[in-house]
Amino acid sequence: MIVALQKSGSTIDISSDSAKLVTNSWCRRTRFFRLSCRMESARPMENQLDALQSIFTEFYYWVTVVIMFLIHVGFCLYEVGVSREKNKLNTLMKNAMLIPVITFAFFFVGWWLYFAFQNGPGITGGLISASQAEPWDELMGTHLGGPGDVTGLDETGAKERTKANEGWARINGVFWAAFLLFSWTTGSILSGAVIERIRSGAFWLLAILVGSITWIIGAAWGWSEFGWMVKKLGYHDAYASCIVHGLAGFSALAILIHLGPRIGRFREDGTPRVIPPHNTWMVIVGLFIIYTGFWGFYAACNIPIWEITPREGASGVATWSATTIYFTQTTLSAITFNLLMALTAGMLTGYMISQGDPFWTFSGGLGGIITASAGNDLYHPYQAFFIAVIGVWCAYKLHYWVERKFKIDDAVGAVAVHGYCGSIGAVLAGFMLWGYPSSPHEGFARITPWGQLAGFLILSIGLGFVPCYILTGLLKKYGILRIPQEVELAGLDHDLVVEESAQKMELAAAEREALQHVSGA
Amino acid sequence: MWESILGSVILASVPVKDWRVDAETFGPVYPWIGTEFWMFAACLVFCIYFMIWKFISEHKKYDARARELNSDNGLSDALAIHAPEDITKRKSRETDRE
Repeated sequence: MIVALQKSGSTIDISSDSAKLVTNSWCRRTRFFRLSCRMESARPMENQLDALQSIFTEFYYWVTVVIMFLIHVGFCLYEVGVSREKNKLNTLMKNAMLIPVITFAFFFVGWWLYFAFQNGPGITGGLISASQAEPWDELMGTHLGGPGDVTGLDETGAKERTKANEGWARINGVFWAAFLLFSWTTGSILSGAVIERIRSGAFWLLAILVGSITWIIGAAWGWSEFGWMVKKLGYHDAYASCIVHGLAGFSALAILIHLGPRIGRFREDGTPRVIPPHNTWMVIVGLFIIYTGFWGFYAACNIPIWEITPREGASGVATWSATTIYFTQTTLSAITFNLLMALTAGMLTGYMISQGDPFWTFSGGLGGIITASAGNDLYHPYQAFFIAVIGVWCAYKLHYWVERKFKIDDAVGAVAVHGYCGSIGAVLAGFMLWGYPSSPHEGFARITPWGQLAGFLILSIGLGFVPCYILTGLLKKYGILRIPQEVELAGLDHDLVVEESAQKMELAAAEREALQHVSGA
Repeated sequence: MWESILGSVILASVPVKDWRVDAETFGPVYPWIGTEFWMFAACLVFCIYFMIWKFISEHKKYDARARELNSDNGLSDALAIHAPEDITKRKSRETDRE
């Protein structure tokens, strides 16, 4: 049997006679990388390809993490800009400190949940062993991959070893970080909605719940190679419309219901007052930076280079491709087309529907991307465009309806842009991609509208809304959710403002004194 | 004596004795291999302490500030700092000056 490896138009033939299956502990540890059990050739060419694949993947995720960091920078700018002068530093610290808070929780438990919970557990199997993600495992530290198992002796009598933990040793940290940055994003989505009245401690606890527990369980179920929702429901959400955005947006909605609006947000007749941002430029620049970070977000949702091996019924040709998290093939070219067309449609729709309001124009761009994300690995750019139009239009209408009807004060429109757009996008993908296989593996359900609808209910409502509603209710019950009314009125940075004005007055007095000396001289 | 005892304990935990051996033999290379669980436990305790400290200190801070704002004219003074100046009043003042 000849395995043909096609790359850049040239074909390299590798005889499978000289190949052997590597049964190393890296592969045994988890099924996620079981496809990476390479046909190991004695030829150095293949070893170099393996090395290139491994190091390229490592570097690729490392770069995506750097780009995704911009999402958090953008969220901080955006939120601080939206807040009033009297609350700006508190708003900044509340959001910035979710970085360390979510990071430790994600290191301790979140990463393990992703691998261990793919079967539910209890739906398609039990808890999966995922020792490489346990917070006390050697592979969660500086590790060079060895020593492998001894497989025999070579001609010179030296021990031959498998590659052991080489894969996880190279990929664990960067892959963990890519997921962690999604976690920060979920926390930031909550953060913007609740500004100027939530206690930071309560917010960080909620951020841990969403950023390190609920969203990552959702990802294990519906955004992994063997997740039970993929198997049973054919759930497809390639760039995390619902898994990140829908879930976090509905989590924010649950918190807002208990938290209540900012003082003065609604008139006595129930109509909303506008609370103007203290710095519109920061808001807009923040949104532009979030757009930039989304390139990293999209890239991080892919597996950058993967050997697509011959499958049953295929001609026996292997190739290399980028894949989605489900190991279905896609290209960076495809997602670039679709991301930009969805952004375009979102901005146009936001501009049109709001009569040129900057907030809705830029938020519309983001909402457009989020709506189309579920199927952007497969859509045509025109499809991504019109899906984005529908998502942003619906989100805009829903936002104002919910605001007026239920007196929900979402300071940055997070529920609309993330919650509604993400959820609508996941459901629309069910209609657009109806009948597509959800996975390269046999026996997995195909993509259907009801599978996607069930996915929305499980993710946005079951994992997003319900847990946050319960925890926020408890925090409210014990009086540790919202800041006292007097402090809210005076402003969270009141002490600082008073201190600053005293310093300015002292400085002005000193300058006047200096001026008298100068004039006297 | 203490120096030699401490030195031998630390040296015993060093996983890399020589870099000039086959690369495939290197696994974890950080010091104190085998103590990962205890390091995890210490880190967990620190992080839980941080969260508890935050809840308690925040509660105290807001209680004190609310009391302060409720005393005398605390709240009205505080609101006056942030209240935007009424443009119509400013204009009328300017007209009066003219």
